[in-house]
Amino acid sequence: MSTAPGQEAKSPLIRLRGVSKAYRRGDIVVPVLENVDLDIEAGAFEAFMGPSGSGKSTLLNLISGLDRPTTGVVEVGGQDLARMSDKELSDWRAGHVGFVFQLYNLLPVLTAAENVELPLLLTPLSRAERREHVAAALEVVGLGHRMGHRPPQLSGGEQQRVAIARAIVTDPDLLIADEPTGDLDRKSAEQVLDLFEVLHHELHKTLVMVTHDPHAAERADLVRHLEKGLLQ
Amino acid sequence: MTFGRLVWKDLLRNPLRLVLTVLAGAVGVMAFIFLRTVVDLFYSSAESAQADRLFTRAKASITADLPLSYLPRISTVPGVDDITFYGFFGGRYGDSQRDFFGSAFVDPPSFMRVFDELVVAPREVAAFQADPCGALIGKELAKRYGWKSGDRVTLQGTIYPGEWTFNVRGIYDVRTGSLDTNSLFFPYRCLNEKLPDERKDRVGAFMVRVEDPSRSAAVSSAVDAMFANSPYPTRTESERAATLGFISMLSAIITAVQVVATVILLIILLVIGNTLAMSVRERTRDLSTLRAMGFKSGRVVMLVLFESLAIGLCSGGLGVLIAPPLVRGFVAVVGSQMGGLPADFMREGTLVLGVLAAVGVSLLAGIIPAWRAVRIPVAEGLRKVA
Amino acid sequence: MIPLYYNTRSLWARRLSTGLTVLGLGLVVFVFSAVLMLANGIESALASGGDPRNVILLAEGSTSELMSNVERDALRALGSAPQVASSVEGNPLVAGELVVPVLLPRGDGKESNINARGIGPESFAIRPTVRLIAGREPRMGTNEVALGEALVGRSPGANLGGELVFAEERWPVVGVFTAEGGAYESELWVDVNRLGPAFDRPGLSAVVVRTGSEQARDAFIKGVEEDSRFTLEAKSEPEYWADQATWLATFIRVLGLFVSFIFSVGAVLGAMITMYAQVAARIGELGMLRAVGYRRRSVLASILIESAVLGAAGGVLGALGALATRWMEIRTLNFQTFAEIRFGFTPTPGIMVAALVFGTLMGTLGGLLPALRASRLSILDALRA
Repeated sequence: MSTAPGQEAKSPLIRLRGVSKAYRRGDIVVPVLENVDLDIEAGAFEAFMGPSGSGKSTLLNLISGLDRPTTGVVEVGGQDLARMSDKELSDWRAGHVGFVFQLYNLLPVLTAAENVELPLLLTPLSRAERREHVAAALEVVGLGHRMGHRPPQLSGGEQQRVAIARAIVTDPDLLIADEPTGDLDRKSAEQVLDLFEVLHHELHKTLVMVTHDPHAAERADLVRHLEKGLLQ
Repeated sequence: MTFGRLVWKDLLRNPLRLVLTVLAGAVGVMAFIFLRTVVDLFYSSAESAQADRLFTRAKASITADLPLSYLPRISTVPGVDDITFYGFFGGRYGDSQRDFFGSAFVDPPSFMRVFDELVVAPREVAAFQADPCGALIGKELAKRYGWKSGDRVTLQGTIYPGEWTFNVRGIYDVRTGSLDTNSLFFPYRCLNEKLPDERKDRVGAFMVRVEDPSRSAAVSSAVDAMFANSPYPTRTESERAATLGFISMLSAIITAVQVVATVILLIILLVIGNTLAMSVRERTRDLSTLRAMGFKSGRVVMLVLFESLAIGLCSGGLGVLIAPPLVRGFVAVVGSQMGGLPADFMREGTLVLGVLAAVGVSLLAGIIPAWRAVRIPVAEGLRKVA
Repeated sequence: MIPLYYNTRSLWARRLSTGLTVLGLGLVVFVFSAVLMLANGIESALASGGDPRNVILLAEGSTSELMSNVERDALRALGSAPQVASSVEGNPLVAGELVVPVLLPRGDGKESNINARGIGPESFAIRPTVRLIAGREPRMGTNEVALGEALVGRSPGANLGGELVFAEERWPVVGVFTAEGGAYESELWVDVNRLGPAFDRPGLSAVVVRTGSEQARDAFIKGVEEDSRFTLEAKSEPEYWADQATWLATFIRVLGLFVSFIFSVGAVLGAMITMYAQVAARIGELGMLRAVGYRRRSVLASILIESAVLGAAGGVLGALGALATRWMEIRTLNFQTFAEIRFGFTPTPGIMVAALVFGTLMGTLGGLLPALRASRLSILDALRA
């Protein structure tokens, strides 16, 4: 665990204390995370690395409210996620988190614009406002001209950029990226990572990324290593 | 690992879907059997009609009657063994349509002789023949209203105005044949004595038993020829021909039921076809792998068709198991509203037809999915992810 | 809410499955609505034969003209009632009629029972809905007949200028009439004083009276019932014809709805198979929607709506198919009148709405379990899939 010096007074955006997570496989309990303490400041860009099964994805799931810890406290923006109901978590994610997945997870039957619009349908924005936001987000990722295309008509890199547009369209505090470059060629991966830096530096988003790719990890301000459920 | 085992394993890939498909198929087979049974029902009375019995009625119209004086003249026609007559009474009991049952007047002794399929206790036969206004009622009818010997039943006349009261003297069952057990018969005398002169001594039809059924046609023509130039020409047919003639007037309804039975086969076809199409679609890569390993297209087609056949057989088997109770239940609920239906009419032939239809339809359903399975080039199929 | 176009496009993406399922649902809806239209067709064919101002008088206890026997004496007494309307010539609009089923040969070698109606001079005037479309009215005192439009071509000689043979006599056809789809269209009309003797029927089946108004009709019916001279049962003409339709319409309705019910079980299972497959194929997509912040309830609603769309499509297809049967007509024997009747598939807005509701309901039922399954998926499992 680590905290940048000089920022002690400000409470971190993400605060994990004594977090453990274990899965039950039949009769066997498999521990995945053990007693993790972690603080991530608002505006940081951090990468988690580690071998398969080290628990990095689980950690990401806990931070993003997709999963709950077995024990411990997960606080994001001052809210204890472990205590929230499924419904409250859904609403919280809709307002505060943007996701970027390894396999993009776009809906193949919707156009790029419609995919980006999906999270906005959970907000009270009007149709016209939504259209504006979608256009702006796609502009940020450089795909303003491909709004009407469907995922199967786009390259992998383009699909991932659409996914990033979808992640930022609600202007969330936190961006979560799980192996965002894992399925991309070098050039597309660089474009995606460039985009992350823009989001980080210019839009001051907090980015938490899990990756296997040392090139990707390089771009982060801070790289943390996980090994067998323990934060190194 | 045999070919059969491969089919079996593929079927079980998605057990829930298999169960749903077989259930849907079974429901279809059941509906098919039900509808075919309804069609059989229309024809059943014709099939069980007695071959040695002729039916003589007025040629002019179904509702026209004949003078009773024809009876001795018909008996003289060569080949006539015995003769009786009856008249439609059409009494009404209660006000609603579901209370309707057939009622007719007869000559008890000859009626019991010619309709020898009637089963009545000897003591009741004597009581029925002795009472001028006695009534012989069918087993189903007795059960429906809880009537027993000694009860008095009053019917409202529809053709013969007024109220008519009869004493139940016996309950009949039928061994076989076209008679139902939902009717009431009473002696001719009871009615005739109270009729005005111009309506006296008129009957609806004569029933003639012939000595030799193979000579039915000759006897029929002889009877009709005898009255051809009388004021009341007759028309004589075998019981079977008369029933078939009646059924042919209902042909539109029977056709409609048959059309609907075909529609159900189409629905089964769609459901099984859909399941196979999905299963083939999900297995595009697996099937391409098999082909890459050297399985011929024909083999892959067989694989799909066997799966289809297996689903069809299961559906057919299950449908045949559940159809009879369903049909019986329907008859129990609805039969009485329809004026009574025979209790036992489910045929083995119809059940077999149901299974055959399921098998045929399932094979048909497999054709398009099987074609899709071998349509795409192996190399392309190998790359497909679901 | 997850947008509807996500569902419709997902259905379109698996066109074959969707198409087969919609077709299956459509066939069930087709049978369902066709049956209702048919039962309705029978009822309206028979019921439309009646004019509310007309009264039919039968012998007490009789339910149908076929069984009824009315003395001729009643005719004059009934005609003198004050409520009875008059013809242009000033005659009371009363007719004694006799109905006799006649067996006519059909072109295909089989036979049909046709009701022959012996009419009086005022029978046409009493029923304004019965209109000649060809030829003229049969003259009284002759064997001339007018054919209901439904009978034209049904038997050799059954056309204008043709000749029918029954009851050992010849009956030239001099006119053809319609009756706005009513049962009279399946009858042949001829002078009652010729028909009666031909069948040795001196009496009448019924007396038909046209009253001045519906109030007059009610007063007339009341008067007849209270008058001890008559042992007659008076019914308004529409009521009489509606009663004649009950057995056949009930038979078709009961059988048809029972069959539709069984069919619907099969179709619901079919929809369930399709929706389970839709959910299974889109687990990853549903997981993403949940991750992005959609609640379980939204996913449940989305899948349910999708299956409802599937069902509604089947409903529309089936209802349209059923509408296409309008041009078909069915002729069969009505057990109650013992005569052939002609009727068609008669749609009503109610039946069409019922068809759409029925289709949608089947689809929704089929989607219920798959939707529950989809909403219960764990996000993490779904994303991993």
